[in-house]
Amino acid sequence: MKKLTVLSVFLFFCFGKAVAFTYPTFDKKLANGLKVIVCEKPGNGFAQVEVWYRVGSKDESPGNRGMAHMFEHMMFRGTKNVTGPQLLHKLDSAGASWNAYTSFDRTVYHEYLPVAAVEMALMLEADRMANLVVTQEVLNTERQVVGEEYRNGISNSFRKMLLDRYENLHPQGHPYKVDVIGHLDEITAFTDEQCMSFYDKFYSPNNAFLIVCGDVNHEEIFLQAEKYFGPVTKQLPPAVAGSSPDLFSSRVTVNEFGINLPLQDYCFAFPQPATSDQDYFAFSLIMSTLFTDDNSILNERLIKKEHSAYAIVQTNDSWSLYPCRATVDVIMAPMPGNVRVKKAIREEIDKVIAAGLPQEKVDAFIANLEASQTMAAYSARAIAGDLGSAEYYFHDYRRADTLTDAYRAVTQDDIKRVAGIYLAAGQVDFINIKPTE
Amino acid sequence: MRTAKYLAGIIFLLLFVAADLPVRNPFPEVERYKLKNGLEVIFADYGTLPVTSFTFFVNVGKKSETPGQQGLADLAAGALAMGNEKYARMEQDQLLYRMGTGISSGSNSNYSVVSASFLNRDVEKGMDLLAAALTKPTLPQVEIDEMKGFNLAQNKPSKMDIGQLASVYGDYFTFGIEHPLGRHFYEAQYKKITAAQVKEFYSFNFTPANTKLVVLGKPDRALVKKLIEQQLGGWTAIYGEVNSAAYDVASIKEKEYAFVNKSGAEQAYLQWIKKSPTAGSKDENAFRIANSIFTERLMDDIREKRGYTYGIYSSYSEDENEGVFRVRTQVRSEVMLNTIQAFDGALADFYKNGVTDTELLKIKMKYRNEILGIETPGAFAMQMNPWVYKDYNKRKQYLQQIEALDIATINKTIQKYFSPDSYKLVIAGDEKVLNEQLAGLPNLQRLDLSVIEN
Repeated sequence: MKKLTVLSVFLFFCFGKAVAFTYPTFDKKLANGLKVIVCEKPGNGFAQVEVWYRVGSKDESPGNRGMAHMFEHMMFRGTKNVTGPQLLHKLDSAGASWNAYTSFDRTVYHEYLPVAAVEMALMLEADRMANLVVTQEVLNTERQVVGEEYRNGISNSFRKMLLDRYENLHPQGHPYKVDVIGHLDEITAFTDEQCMSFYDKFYSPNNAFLIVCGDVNHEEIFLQAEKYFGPVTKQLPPAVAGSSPDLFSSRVTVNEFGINLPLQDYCFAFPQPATSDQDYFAFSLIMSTLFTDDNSILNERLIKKEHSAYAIVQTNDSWSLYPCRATVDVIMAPMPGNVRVKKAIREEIDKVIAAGLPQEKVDAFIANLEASQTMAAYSARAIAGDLGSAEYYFHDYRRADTLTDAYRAVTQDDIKRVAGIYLAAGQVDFINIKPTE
Repeated sequence: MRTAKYLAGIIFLLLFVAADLPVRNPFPEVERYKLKNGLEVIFADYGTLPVTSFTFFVNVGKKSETPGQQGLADLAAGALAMGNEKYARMEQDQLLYRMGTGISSGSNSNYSVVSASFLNRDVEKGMDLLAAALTKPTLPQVEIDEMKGFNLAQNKPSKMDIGQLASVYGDYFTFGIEHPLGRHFYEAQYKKITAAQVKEFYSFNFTPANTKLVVLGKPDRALVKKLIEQQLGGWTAIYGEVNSAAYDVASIKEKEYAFVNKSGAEQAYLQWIKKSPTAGSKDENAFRIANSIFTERLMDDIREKRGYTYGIYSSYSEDENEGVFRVRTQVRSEVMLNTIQAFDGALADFYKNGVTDTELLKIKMKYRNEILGIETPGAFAMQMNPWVYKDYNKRKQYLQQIEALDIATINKTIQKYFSPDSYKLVIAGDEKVLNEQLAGLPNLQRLDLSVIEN
């Protein structure tokens, strides 16, 4: 079943004429359930290859915290057909830029490489999807590597504070209760059996999808995908959407925290809808326009006009499979009178609940999104990321093309209603983070 | 077994095909000219989208700071986007936001870079905003004080993490306090910096003849040239074009060790510093190749085989060339000495045996694709810094130069720069945990605040 869609109708007006950048995008589902998405973006003779697995730290349980990320490392350590060093040597010899990342929701392996080497990347990805080998000896070394990654993180005072406070944000049983990096004592004790059990449980063609974006021909990629991924017969039972504890009836479990820097940080934590939720786009528009964007209401007021804060940052993932706790950190110099910042934030939130967002802010947000998308059309990597996110969170990569429309459809009534739900006084928790000395 | 052979055969074939493809030259033909005030402009087409990127390379950085001025270059570059005589900061930011872009500005040891990319439909307004930020900044006291406050909060030696400590004290240990690259700002000195000083530093260094502009993308050249003349033709150097800064190369002739204490640190940060080719040296390409292979060796040994670290990187780049290269890693405290020994072994082996054909081929492919794979004009402009690559015709031959490097040339370069007998090593970590291991390092210097607060 082949479909043709057009990705990225990046519409904007230029001298009164509509100009569109259209990259033909195709998809095909293999018999084993692997969806293959190909975006024919002409350009520099390179392509981005990404394999997205629908597994992340959300799938871990007590005792194997950090396994999704640990496992990502092991996917570079060899299969029945190639050793780890051989795998990397092959990618490097093709001049590939490769890596992977793990989030709460997903694990993504990616290579950016000349189109002539795309077939090799598909072959290697299919091979590790089917034939991974984990030995305790290699795992022992990799456990230490990941242990150092953990320690690197906590050697920075700000990141250490974020990690330490994290487990106070979500109620017990929430899929995002524990940070992706996991627990050091568990990471350094993982066994090859635990790893292989994780692999068997989550890595299969019907729990993944493949994206290729760049100077490629979709028919050739479909043939190659069929050739290498087609024989992977492993199947997992259909994923059942999990549930998560209600965030509206739980609170963060800490309201004061320390940081080993001469900074004060007011953290505001409140419920965030899942990306698939009908409230998501209104919520996201509020987050950007009220809190985080360069010309957001609070950025202008607290940083540029009143000079009472250094920065305002969102410190959680803005796209999520499950409802979660959003966190916005307002970073300031520690000084008496900072409480006025807290009051100012509540004041601005209440204005949005009562009257919505200023229309010029909403218009600017849409204009920014359109222009940013046009700029991003340069990049096969950016496009692949957008397609992947849309496929992952909406089960439809074509939604990447209509995000601006989704934001444009948000009304002031939506904004007031959504702000009233998620940012109501009773829902916004506050953590005062102060210097430890 | 059959699958393995099949895979190996296909991979060999694919690599052969990939390596044999004709390589396009990604360096575009350029048009260059100078405005009457001395500003050099370099134009080139790059990419297919209606986007134009403007990158100003200013010949000012940490090297330009005299004693007491530590941090000024960074403050001056950072404050350019904080408002100017034509646009208040808020108005400027609102206009840029609607265009989906922003002004980026920053500095390193050698250069400051101010840049922005605009959709062609916005280029007129965009150029107006960018030129105003560069040539008419107000450099307001309140914003500068905020920048200072934020920088100080993160850079107080007592609060620095081990990576920051190794970096700051490594600069001191390498160059010394009399050298502009060896001095770091500290609280008492930094707090005294006024907006007037930033303005003076700016006026002295951010001048037309001390700046080169690279315009890349798909510009309407006639329009953009007109805009450049309109917006930048009247830019003048208040104090005249008197800026210049040069510095001596560090002397590293033997193995020297220094230590900085960070109580409670769970890891040790190790930074080795060695001499590299100086800017413009004919050894630069061969050195970069050798250095990348050295990083791969270290990663393979110290990360993949021993599991001591998450990463170990030997860094060097032409536009930040300080005459030295640095190898950095962060390891758990108990393997600090083992890591130094492993490094010494890897360095000695590299020096003695040089690189292999396979390693050279692989790195050449990596270098080729790093350039060919660049997607945006803004990113490609960074490959064209006219202060670094003074002869563009030579720069255009970069891929051929890389391709022509043979193993004998690389190994000769290794003999010159990778001697196992000389480096400076700065270690940051918890002395209580590391003391026993530190005892094994000869003539260890223990550094504290007094050496930088001078």
